[in-house]
Amino acid sequence: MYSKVLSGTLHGVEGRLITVEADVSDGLPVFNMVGVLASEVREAGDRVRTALRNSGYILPPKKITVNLSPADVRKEGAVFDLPISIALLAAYGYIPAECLEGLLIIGELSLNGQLRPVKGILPIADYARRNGFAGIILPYGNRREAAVIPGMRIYGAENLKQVVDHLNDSKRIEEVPCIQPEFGEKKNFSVDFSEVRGQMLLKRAVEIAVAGMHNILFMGPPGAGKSMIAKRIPTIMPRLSYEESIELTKIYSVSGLLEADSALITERPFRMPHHSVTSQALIGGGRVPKPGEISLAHHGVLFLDEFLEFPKNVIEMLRQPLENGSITISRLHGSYVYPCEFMLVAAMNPCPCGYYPDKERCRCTRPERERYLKKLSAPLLDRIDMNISVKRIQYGELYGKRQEESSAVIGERVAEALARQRRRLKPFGISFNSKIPSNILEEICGLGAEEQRLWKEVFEKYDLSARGAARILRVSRTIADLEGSERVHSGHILEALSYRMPGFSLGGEEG
Amino acid sequence: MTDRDYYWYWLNNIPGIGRITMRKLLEEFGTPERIYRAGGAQIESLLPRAAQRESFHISKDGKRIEESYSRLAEKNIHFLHPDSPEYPKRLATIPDNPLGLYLIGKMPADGVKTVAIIGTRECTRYGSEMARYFGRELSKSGVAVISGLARGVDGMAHAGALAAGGYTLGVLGCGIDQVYPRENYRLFIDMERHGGILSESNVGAKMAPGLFPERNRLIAGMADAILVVEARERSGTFITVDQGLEQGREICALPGRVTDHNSVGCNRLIKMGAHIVTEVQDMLELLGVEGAHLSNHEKLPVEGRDVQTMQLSPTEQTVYGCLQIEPRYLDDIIEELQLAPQEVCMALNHLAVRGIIEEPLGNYYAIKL
Repeated sequence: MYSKVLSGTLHGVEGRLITVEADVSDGLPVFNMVGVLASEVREAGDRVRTALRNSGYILPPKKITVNLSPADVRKEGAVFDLPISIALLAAYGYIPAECLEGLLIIGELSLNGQLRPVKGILPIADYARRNGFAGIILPYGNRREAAVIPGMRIYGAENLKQVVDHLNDSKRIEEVPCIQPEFGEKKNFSVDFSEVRGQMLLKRAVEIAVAGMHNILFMGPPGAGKSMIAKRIPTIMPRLSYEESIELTKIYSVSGLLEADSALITERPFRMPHHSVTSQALIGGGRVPKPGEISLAHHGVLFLDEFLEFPKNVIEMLRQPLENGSITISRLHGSYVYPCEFMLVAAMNPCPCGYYPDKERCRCTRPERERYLKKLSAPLLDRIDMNISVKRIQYGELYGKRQEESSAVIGERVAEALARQRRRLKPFGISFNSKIPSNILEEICGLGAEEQRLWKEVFEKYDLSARGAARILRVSRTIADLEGSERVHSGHILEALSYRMPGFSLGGEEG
Repeated sequence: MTDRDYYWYWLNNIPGIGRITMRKLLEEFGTPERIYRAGGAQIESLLPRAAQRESFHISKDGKRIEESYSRLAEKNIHFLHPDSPEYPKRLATIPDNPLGLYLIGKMPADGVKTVAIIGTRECTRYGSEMARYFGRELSKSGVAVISGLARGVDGMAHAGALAAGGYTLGVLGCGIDQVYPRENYRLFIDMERHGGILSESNVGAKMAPGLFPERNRLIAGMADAILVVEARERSGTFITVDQGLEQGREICALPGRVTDHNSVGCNRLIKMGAHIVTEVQDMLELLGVEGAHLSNHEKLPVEGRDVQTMQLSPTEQTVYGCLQIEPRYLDDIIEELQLAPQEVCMALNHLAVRGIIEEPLGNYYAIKL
């Protein structure tokens, strides 16, 4: 007898349909599995037969053929254990074939028939909903992850027996209620900006950077609080929207990084890879490509501390993702697209010893500094809008008794600025000031006569390149947005000058 | 290459024979040519070490000497010796005068007054700006600026002189072709074209600490007056000053605050009787430069003096009041004034764009000098 069960697998961060067919006929008793199978899928045969026997289902010796289609897609992972078992049981007549309709079945089996959670459930569940599936049967441990997708029946089964009883209608599994993640409430972060004493300039710069999603580079000696500030950036970012959250959770689901029993990720990620990271771990890759750190930082912050200590080839790979907001990885079995719209926050020392311009401590010569800073290429620097020098904190600042602004207050201003620019930029198909292309930049900034005059003066005074000028204007636009101003005024441009990159190759020294 | 050049060049380039031995030989024989032609026994009694005697005999290889000399010419390096017409008269009279000099570019013209501007390598912005200012302004009056092409005060003095289009001479302690420190590479190139670089060592001689005092002797020797811009309590600058005193040069110093680490040396010099210099005219009068009273010189900037005449907003005035000669970090200014960062940034950048203040380093601001 022939039977068919629908299941799913992953392709990048998207789900893809896999049909599992089983046929049982008379002939020599063999068990054949076909359909471009990776070794873990081939091993499913043994797992399935043992699990079936241990769950009390006897399979009389017959010629069994299992086919996983489409035949040109390589099947990987242990997610097919359950669909294969169900297909076999249906083919042997334990389960009526009609009850499998409109159902997507997925899960890994252990030898005693227990179901184990698998990774990548969210993209597959999302795929199932979009393709009109009525329900999905999956391991109990995955039920909450799938339950955030509305409009589908989710059944979380603990073992094979439960699934069979459910399908036979002898004992239905209880449906998992749809989870409505709460997006309104502010989640408590373990850190807050009010803990940062002083560093007014740095805080202001970070506020602007977040308000326009500008990439930012901190330059300063060790112990100046660069990492401390960077860690607090997610606390002032606006809450993830439902769509953003789904996108992000898919990436984590595929990477197997979702915590057990968790539903959607509702906090913006903060990723801080060590500088020994390989290019594959940062960008994504592997024989079966997995999302890299840049994708795990999607809609959040990628913080690269000791930016210059990263291998040059690794840093340079950031160019294309920073430009496109996604990364395409091509491998033997296909190419995969992972989204990676992150805000880059980089921190570095101004010289090899780290203490420049503190002449009491820094012994580095100018050529040494130049050589050190030359590791950053111009194309990469072009993608970083803001640069700020950081100094070691004075004792008094560290322990001063002053009321500092909390993340919530700063976050409100940032959210308003973001909403304002999103409205303005909608006709151009972009959402952030940092993405404004240079050809429409002046139009969007709306400089008046006085501003034009100042801008010309600034241009000549600082001998700006076209790109350098564009970076300053983008930041000015964000400063204006923070103030609620539709046009960019002189004051906004003047403030933005503090965040430009002056004579970068000399560590900020001009002339 | 005249015969005299040949013999002097030979004498100056015998390995293991230095200025002291050379002088001993010259006393005995009179001229390098006679040393060259002198017989074995007589020479050997004057050269105590066997290695010296050996290298003395090997070095008399006409072809090698001529080749080495022509290689200098290819690099536009001139060799000067006490008998050559270009040999500076100032150096002829100093004790232990050099017996061979290597020169790229030109020596200062006859009759031109010269000032050595010297100071510490680890100077403050005040020091470097003052060195540049005096280099530039003295240069405008046709005074040649002499210094040691080192980091800090030296380099800035040269740069100031070059900026005014004047002549400046750099004296090296290492070989004439060595660029040390590397960071002054651009300065070296400019000075080769528009000034001069002088050394007592032939090409290839590496820098060694013992060579600095030797060089300082030449700096003092080339100068009519020595101006010390910044010096700590113990400083190599004092070697130059001591040599200068021995050679009868005028010693001048810029006074500094008594609490400033980098001015302790200057103040001590003044206490011991050095001329106090507070403006360019002081130097010019001391040197007897004609028209010293004519002031085509930029006035020495004094902190905050001209702020009243410039139209500044109240915030800008407050912010300006916070600035000093030494660059201050933006956040420190924000902290001191307790103003919003954006206000301070705006005010500072507005002042910077108008050229009233400077941003010598990213996010560090200082008043303009």
